[in-house]
Amino acid sequence: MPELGTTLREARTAAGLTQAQLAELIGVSRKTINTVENGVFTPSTTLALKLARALKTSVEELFFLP
Amino acid sequence: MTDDIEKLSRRRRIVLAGYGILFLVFQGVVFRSLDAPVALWRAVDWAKAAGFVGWSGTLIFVLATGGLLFRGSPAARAAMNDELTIANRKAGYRAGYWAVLASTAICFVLVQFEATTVSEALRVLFAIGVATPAIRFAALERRQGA
Repeated sequence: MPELGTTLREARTAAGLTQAQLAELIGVSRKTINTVENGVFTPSTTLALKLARALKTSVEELFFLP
Repeated sequence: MTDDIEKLSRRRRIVLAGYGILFLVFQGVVFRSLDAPVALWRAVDWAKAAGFVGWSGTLIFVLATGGLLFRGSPAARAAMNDELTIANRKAGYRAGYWAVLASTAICFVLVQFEATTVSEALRVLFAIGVATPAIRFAALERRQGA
């Protein structure tokens, strides 16, 4: 069971972005976005804030404790 | 830019896995002659020693920097050394730590039964310490789709 739940995939698709586009926006690799979306990798606070800013939402909306 | 990052990451993974495995294999095949006293070295042994230093240095450098040896835009190179890469590198170093500990224990048992020089044991332990993090890092990158 993942330690952190995420709605990143839903938020990204709602924003009309591909993984590659979101990765480029925040300066990480596509596989970083992919692993965060799949719950394989837990992002740092900094990366979570960058993701939230890029998707015009809040960290609490993107990540939650299951 | 994403294509660049994917291409460079794939290249880095292949370099670390391929050279890491070959480095271990070559310990038994090519670098054995380095265990003789330096006074007995021939020119070919000096070349092998240079190869050993260069090879291990390259593996350490590529893993530690995230791939500064590979050409790419500054943005691509920064993305190649992002949080996930750093996490994978830490996992690689952790694997190296356990591999060296286990190898040291095995070496300790083996030297009780078979004559082994200090040079040979140190060379093998060093090679395991260099190659294991590189191979583990490459395996993680592969699993994550690099």
